[in-house]
Amino acid sequence: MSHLKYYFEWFFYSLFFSGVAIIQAAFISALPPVYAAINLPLTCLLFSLLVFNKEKTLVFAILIGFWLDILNFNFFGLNILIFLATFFIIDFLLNNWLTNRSLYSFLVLSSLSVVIYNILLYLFLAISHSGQAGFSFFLFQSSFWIQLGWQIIWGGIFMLLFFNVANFLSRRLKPFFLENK
Amino acid sequence: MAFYSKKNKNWIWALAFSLVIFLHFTKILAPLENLAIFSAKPLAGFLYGSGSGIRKSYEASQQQKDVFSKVSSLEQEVARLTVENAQFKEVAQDNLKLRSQLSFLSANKYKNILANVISQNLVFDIKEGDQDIVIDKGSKDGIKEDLGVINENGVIIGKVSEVRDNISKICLTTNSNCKFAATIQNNDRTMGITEGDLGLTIKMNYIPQSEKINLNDTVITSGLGGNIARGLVIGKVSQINNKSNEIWQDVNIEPLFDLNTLTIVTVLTP
Repeated sequence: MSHLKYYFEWFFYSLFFSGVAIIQAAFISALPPVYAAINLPLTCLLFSLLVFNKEKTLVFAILIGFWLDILNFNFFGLNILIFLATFFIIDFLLNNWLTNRSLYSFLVLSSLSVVIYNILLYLFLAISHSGQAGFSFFLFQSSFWIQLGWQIIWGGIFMLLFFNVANFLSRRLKPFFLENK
Repeated sequence: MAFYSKKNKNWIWALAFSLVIFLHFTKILAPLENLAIFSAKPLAGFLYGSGSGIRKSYEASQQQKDVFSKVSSLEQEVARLTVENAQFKEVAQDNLKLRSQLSFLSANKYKNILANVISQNLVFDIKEGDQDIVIDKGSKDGIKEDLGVINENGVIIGKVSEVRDNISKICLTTNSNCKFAATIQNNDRTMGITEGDLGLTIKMNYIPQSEKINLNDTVITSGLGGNIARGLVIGKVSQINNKSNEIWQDVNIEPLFDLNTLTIVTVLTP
């Protein structure tokens, strides 16, 4: 019976994270520019890291990356690699630098994850597109900084929302989020 | 801590990543990928339609509502009439040729493949002017690279740039990497190559100064670009850049489609 529950849980999470990837690829990408900066997979994976553990989060990162890779025409594996790398770094930061697990720490972590994710992603894309006509390095493009700013804002809003919803729905999570005095 | 130590399991993730890549490139993962895309297509199409609907109404709310609806309907009407006009002009030209040659040329018959747009650029333009959409039909549906893609008004919106089994990437006419062999419907029947300009408009460069071009002249595909039919409307001349001390002139062409309204497109196959 417990095995069945275990498989059902994995099935549910796989379905959820697949849904998140499809929503990002099809729905959010079609929204007006300000809203298209929402990075739902990154926020959900970050929340998974805070609620579950690194191993589970990395499996979900591979799953989301896989979906985005097959719905995208960048070279296959790019999204998987970027999500894995981002969450290795974020996990390291969480365990070594951010010992205080307050909302403010999570907001900092959310902002850092957006910055790391974007820099890694566009660095890889810049390498693959360098030498082509019309190429300009992303750090010198205003649109990169504008969408990065919006992603940080949206990441913060979603983190605030998830944090409060999780605290409201489950007492079990409270000791995880709140610092013991 | 060593990368391969018993405590450190990071190598497992490197192995998992390598395995996924290996299985993808050896096509072992292809059935799973096809199944995933096949099952996601209806949802993705619906979500994209909803997203672009929100985008359209968001942009509409930025403007005066009544003026917007009026302009929008007029634009649609102009696009429809431009296509009609271009077709009539082409038919007239064909008639003249047919009469003079006393022979009959059967028009090319093109098969149509209807497709839903399921996604657009997920990342901001790494190169200025890149604009692509993804449709839910691929090589299994008979789609090949370089086929022309039109919207519901018959205006060419781009061409197929990459194909996978179940999905394809369309580069739009406003994409700087998307080039079309084109003809301006003026007296000289000026021919040239169009290319996207910063993802906003279309440009036709290197036109001899001797060619007389007028504003609002219609630009159509010339049919010299391989698989793309002749006579498909690309846009209208919106600006003529003509300096007397230069050998060439160039024109800006205004596309006759709106990216926000693109949810269903037609791929023309020969």
